[in-house]
Amino acid sequence: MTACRYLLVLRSMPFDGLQVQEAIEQLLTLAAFEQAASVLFLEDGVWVLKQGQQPRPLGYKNLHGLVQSLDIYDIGPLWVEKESLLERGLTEEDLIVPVKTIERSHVPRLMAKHEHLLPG
Amino acid sequence: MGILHLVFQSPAQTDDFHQCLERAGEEDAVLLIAGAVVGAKQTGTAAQVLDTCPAKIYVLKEDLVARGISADEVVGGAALITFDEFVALTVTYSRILSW
Repeated sequence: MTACRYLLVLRSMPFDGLQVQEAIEQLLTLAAFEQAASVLFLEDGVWVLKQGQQPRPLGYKNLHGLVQSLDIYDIGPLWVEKESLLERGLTEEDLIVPVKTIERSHVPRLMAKHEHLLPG
Repeated sequence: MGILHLVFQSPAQTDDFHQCLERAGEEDAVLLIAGAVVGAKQTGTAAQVLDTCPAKIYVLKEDLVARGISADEVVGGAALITFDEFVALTVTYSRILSW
């Protein structure tokens, strides 16, 4: 676990309003100011990373491009809580990008390593 | 110093209450505010997670009073605080996460 300034704690369900998109755009803004940032995907936030999304008919943009761009802006690592994946019947193979998994019991320690926490 | 977690919604309304309390660490504090204060009622089922959470638990007194819950109905170990003390907490804990 590397020390990092900002941690986005992303719990929101994608395609249920624009919260996820706005939270990720917030990270890109931080990256533009060369602020080190990473993301922790928790609970329904893990759905953001699910392969095969087709949200167009619902009037939403596909989030894959946005998520994949995080690496280009040096945002990361992308942490995913193991239990949140398991509870939803997902595995790492279902996700669009490589992630680091973390157990729920280690989440407090990860949060403690960041100077700023952003809800999302 | 740990993190101050703020929980706003009642445990029946959203899962924020449990999601936060299952992940707050022993260095942390959790403040139940607005509708979330009802989760601190001793005889309610949501209070169980408060017993297992290692973080210090605070409940905003004004929000409890507004909902007709008295101090002696709140789980032991939870500290009741005023708005002024809430402000002081945000100074003590420079890192805050809203759930």
